[in-house]
Amino acid sequence: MKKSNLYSYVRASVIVVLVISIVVLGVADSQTLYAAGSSGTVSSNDVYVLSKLIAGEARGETYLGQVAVGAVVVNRVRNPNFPNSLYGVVFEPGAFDAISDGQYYREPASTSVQAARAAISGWDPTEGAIYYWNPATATSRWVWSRKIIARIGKHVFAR
Amino acid sequence: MKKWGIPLLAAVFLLGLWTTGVWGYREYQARQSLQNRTESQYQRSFHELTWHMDMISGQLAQLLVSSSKEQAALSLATVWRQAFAAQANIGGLPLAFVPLSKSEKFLSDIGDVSYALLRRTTQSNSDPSESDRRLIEELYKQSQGLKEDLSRLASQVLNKQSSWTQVEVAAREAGVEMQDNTIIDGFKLMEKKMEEYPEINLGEDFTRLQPEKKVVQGASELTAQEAQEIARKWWFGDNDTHQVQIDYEGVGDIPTYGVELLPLAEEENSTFIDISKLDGTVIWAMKQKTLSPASLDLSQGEEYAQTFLKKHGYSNMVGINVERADNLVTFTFVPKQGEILLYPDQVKIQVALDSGEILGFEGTPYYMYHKTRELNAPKLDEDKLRQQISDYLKIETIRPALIADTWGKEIMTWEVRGSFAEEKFAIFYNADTGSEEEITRITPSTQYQFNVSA
Repeated sequence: MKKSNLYSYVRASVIVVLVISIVVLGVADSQTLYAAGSSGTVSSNDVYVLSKLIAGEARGETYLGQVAVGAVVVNRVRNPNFPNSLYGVVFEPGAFDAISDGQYYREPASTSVQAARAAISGWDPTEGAIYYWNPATATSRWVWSRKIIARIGKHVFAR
Repeated sequence: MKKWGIPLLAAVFLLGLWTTGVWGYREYQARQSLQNRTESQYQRSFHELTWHMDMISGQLAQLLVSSSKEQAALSLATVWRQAFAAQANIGGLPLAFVPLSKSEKFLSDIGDVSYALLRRTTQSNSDPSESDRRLIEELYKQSQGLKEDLSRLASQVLNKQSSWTQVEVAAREAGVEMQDNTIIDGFKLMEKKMEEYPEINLGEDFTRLQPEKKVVQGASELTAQEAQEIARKWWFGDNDTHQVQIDYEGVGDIPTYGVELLPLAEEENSTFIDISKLDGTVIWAMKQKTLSPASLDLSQGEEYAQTFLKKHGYSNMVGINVERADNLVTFTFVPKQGEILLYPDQVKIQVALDSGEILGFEGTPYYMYHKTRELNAPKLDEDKLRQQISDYLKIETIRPALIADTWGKEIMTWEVRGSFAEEKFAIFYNADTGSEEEITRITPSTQYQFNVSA
């Protein structure tokens, strides 16, 4: 009697696990569907690429903090020590966490698109910063040797 | 049930084990194949970098041994192209956390010098001068050093089968122990050698300068309290009720207070205003808003921008550029001195086309460079100018303008705006000699529909 109890227990748990995973996967699927149909914006490709980077790098930051991150990318394009195009700077291997961990590949919020537009048009709250990092999570000791010129939200900006 | 229970469970278990095994092995294979593809891209960038460096030093030497101006122009164009390609190669390598500023600056210098010399060679129709040759010789010596270090490193990387993907992983995850430091050490050594070379004096012909900055002096440094008051009144007028706070103090080229006006009940977001500590001028300002469908057209939007500018003391401004995306427009204005447009002293304004509200102001160049200049009327008259303009250009406007060239030097020009097919251009002709100083493409970039999340 005891043994058959065990079997039915195992059988039940397998079914439960299967049902849960189907439900979870189904929900996840429908969520992506909703996100895709949300709302739209009109932009040039470079603005949209930058807004995706800003969304991935500065989620939760104020509009100011988001423009600042965009400005760092724009400043890098002009700096001799970085690639010469916006695309080169954004996709430089290892340069941005959002590219490495895939956050870049999500849809940006409309705030990030407006921030990208401002940064490309020349708004720069950092006054020429080419680096930024979050002091709470930064792992590289090397970045601290740069000259800090602004602190905006969670990020430190430096030249 | 009792009879079949145990064998059935065992079969299911074995089946599960087998499936997991197969799945795991496939995942492993997929990962390996992905890693090999990444590695091959890095290898390509790295070996191409070495190859481009070799071409650069070879072409620089060729410049010195040749005495023909046609050969010089060809070599300079090659050097310029190779330097650009080498920079792109470095940008494709996972070296973001290896300090390479000297080496990268050197490549960029080579690009700048070859471009400037190429321009001069074609304009003056003469081969490089004696002092140019000394500069080229200096560049050759350093590029030779760089080339040797790189090709030696390349042979070591080949010999030891060193992996670039490992460098990338080590850069991404702190604390990963590298088994093979060949690549990182090689680049560090190369950079160290570059640091030991004496600084090359490029001279003012080749150095990218910023236009001369205006010296701003206030009576005394602004206090945070004063900055907050100025910020509030500047955007919202005397009776404003925003809560104000200082977010940061900027220590860049202009010392500033970053003031934040916290949102009122009916506003979505804060307003940010950056104020110079030197004299209380607003350098830039911005806020974010979700826009409703546009009810204004561009010329109405420009009127709102002009009114805003006048109210804040920017008079005699002329619109030189309009960028529209959705219902947000960015206008660029420059001041006029007499009839002459002062391109270096720009101001940008963002206007929401749903209400005419100003969402952004950017006046850094105006603040840094604007002053009354001593300017002479163009020597070349407009009719003469018209004769030399290409027949392909459909001329729209001709007006006198002061511009700053690539090297930061201010030049008096005639600005000719026009179009060819779908493209729009602003061409700047030297107002005295008539030579083409600069051509700027002002075709608006193509806009597409994109998704955004709420």
